[in-house]
Amino acid sequence: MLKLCGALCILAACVIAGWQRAQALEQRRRWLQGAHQGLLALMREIDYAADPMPQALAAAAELAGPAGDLFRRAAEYLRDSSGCTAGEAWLQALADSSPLAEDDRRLLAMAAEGLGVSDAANQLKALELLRLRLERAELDAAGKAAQLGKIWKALGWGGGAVLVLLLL
Amino acid sequence: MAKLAYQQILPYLPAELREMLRHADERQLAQLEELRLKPLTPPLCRFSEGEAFLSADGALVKKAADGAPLSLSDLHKTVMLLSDSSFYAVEEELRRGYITLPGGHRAGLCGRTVLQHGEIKSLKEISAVNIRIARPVAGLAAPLLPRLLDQQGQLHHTLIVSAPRGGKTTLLRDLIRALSDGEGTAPAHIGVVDERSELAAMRGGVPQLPIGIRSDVLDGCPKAEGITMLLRSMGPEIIVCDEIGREEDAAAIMEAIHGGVRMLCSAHASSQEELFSRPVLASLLQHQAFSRIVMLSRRQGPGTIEWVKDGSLQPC
Repeated sequence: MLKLCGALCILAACVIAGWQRAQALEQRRRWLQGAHQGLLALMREIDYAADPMPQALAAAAELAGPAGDLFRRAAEYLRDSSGCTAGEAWLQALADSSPLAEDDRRLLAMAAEGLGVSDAANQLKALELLRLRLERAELDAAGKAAQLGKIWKALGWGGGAVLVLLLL
Repeated sequence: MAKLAYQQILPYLPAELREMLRHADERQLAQLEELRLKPLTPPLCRFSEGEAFLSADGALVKKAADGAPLSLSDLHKTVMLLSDSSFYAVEEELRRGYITLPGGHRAGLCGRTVLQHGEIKSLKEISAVNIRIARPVAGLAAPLLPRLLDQQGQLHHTLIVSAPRGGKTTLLRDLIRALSDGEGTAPAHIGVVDERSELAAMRGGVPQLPIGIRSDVLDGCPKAEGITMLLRSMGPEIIVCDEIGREEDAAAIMEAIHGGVRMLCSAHASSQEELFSRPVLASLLQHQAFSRIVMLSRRQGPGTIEWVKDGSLQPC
């Protein structure tokens, strides 16, 4: 009975570990999808409303899902910090964001360079370039979430079962 | 404690420059009229009397060599802060060459103009910033106003004249406030054509400077078109324009005068001779479009009244 309980515990632990790895991949996909949507919203705000950056970032935050915090914090830094530019506020917000893959962080940091420093046409060009890269990263993340997610889940089950068999 | 006027512009300056100003003599800075910024030269403070450069420790010094040069990146950062990190949102202001700040202060900009179809589209590569501190002076118009009213207590068609920085916009603004609020006269509905956004300093639809409760502002609108629009739409008793001088302005002013509206205008000139050397103004004066002309100077500080004359240029 004790052995059975132990075996079930080991199996459950392995399955959860595999599931967590798969979830992390799915979360990254959702976060990048949110950032992509937020960026699109920011571009719309700049193009149609021409609202100043603090308002534009705050509006984008509403549509950015899991990445909303990044836009919201950037808007807050910009509004509250005396002498802070949009680029600095964006980088500060990015540094505060929940753990991100280094590649994703580097990609999003690109936005800081030209944020708010040019007319609408050039702003949109620069943000469109970032959006395309973000879209590619999102597709990559979706692919990984679908393929590796399944592998991690299967590995959780399989690894747990193998471990149980070895220990029995 | 109420903020001094110059303290309202501090959030728009980079940290280093802000610190320099924080260490500078507050009593002197209370008189600050302009802060001029250029790359690789020290910030220049212009006061009602004289000017001085800012040194690294905040001292106001006479020689440029003793001042702390502003870096190019600090100038760029200033421009970013002035535009609220939103260049795209101030394209129209950049086209006109200035950005209006809360409190009615104004940042004039110089740089490379971007042309499109032969017209200025925007400014880039900003090379100089001149932040002009707005300081409304309530009551400035009070001693002058009785001389500008006719026997029925209505405003004469009035032209206020001075050289640049002579105080005509400040006086004009206080006249608008007094006439609109009915201080020293019956209250009047006033239409303000604020082509350069200097009179009301509108920001987000809200006047940043006191212009009275019965004043309607057409912001950033060319004067001639603005006068016609106000006549058609707002039924003003008085129309105010700053810095008239183009032919179309004169035609619109004559239209308004013949339409039963009182005109209150200002123009650049430092003497009667200069006034008559400007063809459009000379024509208006020859037709006695204005029945009161007020000449200002800086002789005893900005807004010193040199003389007040009637339409036939006789002192009154």
